[in-house]
This record gives sequence, C-alpha cells and structure tokens, in this order.
Amino acid sequence: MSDGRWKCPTCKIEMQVRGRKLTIFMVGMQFPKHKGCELGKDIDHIDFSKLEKIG
Amino acid sequence: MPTTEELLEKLLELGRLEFWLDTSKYVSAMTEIGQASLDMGMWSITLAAGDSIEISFTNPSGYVWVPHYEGLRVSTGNVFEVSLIRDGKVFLYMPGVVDMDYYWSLISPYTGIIETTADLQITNNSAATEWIVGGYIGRYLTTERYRVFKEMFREAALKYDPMRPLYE
Repeated sequence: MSDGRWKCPTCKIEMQVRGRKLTIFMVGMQFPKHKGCELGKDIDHIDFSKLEKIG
Repeated sequence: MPTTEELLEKLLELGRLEFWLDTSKYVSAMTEIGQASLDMGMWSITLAAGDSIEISFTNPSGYVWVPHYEGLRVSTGNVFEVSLIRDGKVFLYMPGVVDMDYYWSLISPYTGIIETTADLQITNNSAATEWIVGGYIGRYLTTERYRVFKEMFREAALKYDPMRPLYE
C-alpha cells in the first residue's frame, strides 16, 4: 500500500499517508507550491511513482 | 489645567497608539524597514467522499505570521468539517463550512496570529468528491518586533482601560 512518508521531488514538501488519511508538512502557507503537484490531489488520483518514498 | 504643550503631547501619544494598534498600518510599515514581509497566496484541496487531510504549517524560523485577511470557498456548502489549530490551541472549528471571509485587520487587529505552527484539519462529509480553497493576505513579522508589540499592547490595555478609575 501507499502508507508511509513521501516527498515531492520538486517542492520538497513531505506527506504522511495512513490509510486514506493524509498529513502534509509545510513551511509557509501556500499549498500546493507548484502546478500539478501530486500532493495537491485527492488520494485516489495521486501518482505515487512521481514521489520519493522517505519512510 | 494642562498646558497646550501637554495637550499636544497627549494627542501625539494617542496618535502613536492608534498607529501601533492597527495591524494594517504597523505591520505594513515594518515591511518598509525589513522587519516584516508580505505573504499572500492560496491553498487548494480536493477530497474524495469521507476522506480527511491535515496540513501542518510551520513559520520560517524567527517570524510570526500576522493575518490581514483569510477567506474560504467550497464546492458545496455545509459538507466540510474544518478545524484551525494555531500554536496548539483550537482557533476556529467549523462543523459545516460555507463561503466565508475574515477581515482580521478590521474585525480584531492581531487576532489569529501564528507564533510558530498551525494545523488545518479538513474532513469531507459529502457523498461526493469536493474541493475547498482558501485565500490569505498576511505578513511575516520578526519575532523580536512581535515581542515588543505584545508588551506595548498589554501596557496600552492597562493604561487606556476606561474602567481603570473604578478598580484603582
């Protein structure tokens, strides 16, 4: 499954996935930081192959 | 009877106080001397039916975040449950969000300041996929200036409390 900690290689923002619950860790308020960021999508549409698994 | 000079000094003091206590004036002025920086933008979230998300924001080191304006727009009213937690305390809980605007600078200056961290918890209670977006205008103010401000705010609250003669 996709459970674990992920990082967007472009904006370096990290995300924790537990089941269908997402937690995003940001510095600053803007979210998502760039157009097309996988972290800005709902869990059914996130392409995890575009993210780095870090934990 | 106060002299003209004393009255003028008093007027100046009140003028300075009004400047200090108005977020839009004071924090904007701090931007000009490098003690604050403008931060405006938006966040956007799409959630499938029944899903929830938590976004944990951290300020850049050495800064507090002072809001001027925050607004929310939703795809469908009354389906999102939102909690705004600031520095570990629940700042705002909304069981069913509709489109809203908060002009913090006007409503209550220095309300909603984020000293270090904020958490945004959102649940979509709809049977369909929905979106929620937020817009904001605020400023990062240096922690040092913020400490000075807080002390002055407290002193002004005591000094200019109209009920003061009753309890002194």
